[in-house]
Formats: sequence, structure tokens, C-alpha cells
Amino acid sequence: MSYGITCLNQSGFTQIDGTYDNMAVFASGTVSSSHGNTQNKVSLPSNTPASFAIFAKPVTESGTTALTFKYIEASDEFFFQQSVNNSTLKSISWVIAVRSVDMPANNNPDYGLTVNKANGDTAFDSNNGSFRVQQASFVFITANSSANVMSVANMSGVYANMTGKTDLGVGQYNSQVNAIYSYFSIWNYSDDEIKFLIGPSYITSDQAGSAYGGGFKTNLIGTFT
Amino acid sequence: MAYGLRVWDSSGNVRVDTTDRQMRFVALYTGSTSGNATTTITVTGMSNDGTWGLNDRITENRAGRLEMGTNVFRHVNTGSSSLSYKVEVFRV
Repeated sequence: MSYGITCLNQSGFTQIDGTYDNMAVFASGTVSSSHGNTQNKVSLPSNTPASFAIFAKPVTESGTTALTFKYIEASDEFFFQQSVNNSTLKSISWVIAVRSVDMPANNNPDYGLTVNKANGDTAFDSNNGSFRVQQASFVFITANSSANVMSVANMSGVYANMTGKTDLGVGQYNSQVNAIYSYFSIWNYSDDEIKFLIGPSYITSDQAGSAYGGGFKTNLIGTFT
Repeated sequence: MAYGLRVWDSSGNVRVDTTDRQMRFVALYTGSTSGNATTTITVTGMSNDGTWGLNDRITENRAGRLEMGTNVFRHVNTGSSSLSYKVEVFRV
């Protein structure tokens, strides 16, 4: 880039550079979690742009909550599935973030900072809420992956990125049935940690031992402003 | 504060702080991969250096996986049926 602004954080990571679009808060809400065949789904707002990411956290910040994410491409709906062995539903706070350039026009802007790209598109606008990433990890999931644990000094308001492939394969749940194994985000408010771990999300009649997907996965946690 | 940028809104809430990392969108890639095949997508500058992220929006593709390389990522289909992918590339 021949002109413009680049902002680095204290660790040297780029925050704003006018090359890539910072993500901004587009929509938010709450929904009950899901279990088994009970799917409490959220429909994407009709004006949701093509590119987005979805984040979530439990509304009640105590105890332990484990969620995996399901996105239904055909109907543009999503829901948060609990593990097979936990049927107590919880209220979940969700946020949809989109590219800054895809945000609706703001007719009453506040003061702050706006950064445009060379083509005039908005790369960053402090009028928009943004995801302040606290920790990131980049893992390669296999059937035998151990938990990826993030210790968090202050768990208040900490969301996790839920978007991404979650269903990994079929394995034996007990001597009677198999289950689909998925990638879970687990908020543990007693231990001040968020971990990412494979667990059973659905009982299934599918045969175990079929292809186990896995692969590259990005884990992000942080807060929204 | 050593250095960096801090931006507030008019209510005094911090929008960006010097210790934050920010999620920044690079591109959205969509397509499909034939059974037992791999699709390679070129992304200039991509590297598994801890700043590039991938989200595949097709959450239920059990037989598919993403792999990150240098200037590319791959959608690997280990199943026999074709699989769609819808991958957001971002930096953090």
C-alpha cells in the first residue's frame, strides 16, 4: 500500500491497515441452545451479506457450557447444539459480524476514526462495534486431538468464534449406539478458561469408522464493543 | 502504554485498544471438491504463521478438511461424494 494508515498492537499484530476489512457488529440476539432433535434456530437477517462470522457465549456466565455450531446452508439458519449427555438448555447470546464495507449506512455518525481502502471502501469505522480478539489459536484437528485450552483472566463478556466446520465423524457413543462427533467450544467459568474439544453432538444410526474430517481450524475468543 | 492506537466512542467505551487483535476479512471462496480429490486455492501471502484464519461455513462436511500452506489453502475431500465448501479467509 503506497499511502494510508497501519496500526499495530503492542505485540506487533496488525489491527488496521486499509488493505483488509475489519469485521463489524451487524446483528445480535439471544436464543435457547439445542439438544437432540430440538433445534432452536436463528434465521439470518434478510439483508445479511455473503461474508460473515458468528460468535456466541452463554448469557449466564457461571458453571460450564459446551456448544457446537450448526449452520443450515439451504435455509440460512443456525443453532447451537449441546452435547448428547447434557439436555439442560441454556440461553445463548450470539453476534453476527460482517465486513465494514457491508455495514448499513450510518446516518448519524459519532466521532472517532474511519479508514478507507484505496478504492474508497470502508476498512474500519469506529462507529461500528468490533470484535476485540483476546486470544487466537490455529489447530489441526484429528480424531485423537486433545483439548485446546485458553486461560482467561476475565471471563465476562467473552465470546468464541463459532463459524467453521464442526461435524467431524461418527464414533461409538456407548455399546448401544453411535454418535456424530463435533468440535465444541466450552466455557468454564469456575476455572476461568475456554477450551475447544471434540465431543458427541447427536445420536446417529450412521456407521462408525467412516471418514473423519478434521483439518485446519481457527479458534478465537474476545469481546465486543 | 508503550505505543499503539486507542479509539473511544462518545460514551467513553474503548473501540480499539493497544493490546487488541482485530479480525480482518480477506476473501470468501466457494466451490466444490469431487470425491477423493483436493481443491487448491491460491491466496497470495497466506502462511501458517498465526495470523491467517479459515472458517468453512459448511459445518456438516464430515469427510472434508481444510489444510493451510504457503500462498494456498486446500479443501481435501476424503469421501466418495462431491463436497461443497464456503471458506472465509481472514487475518487476526
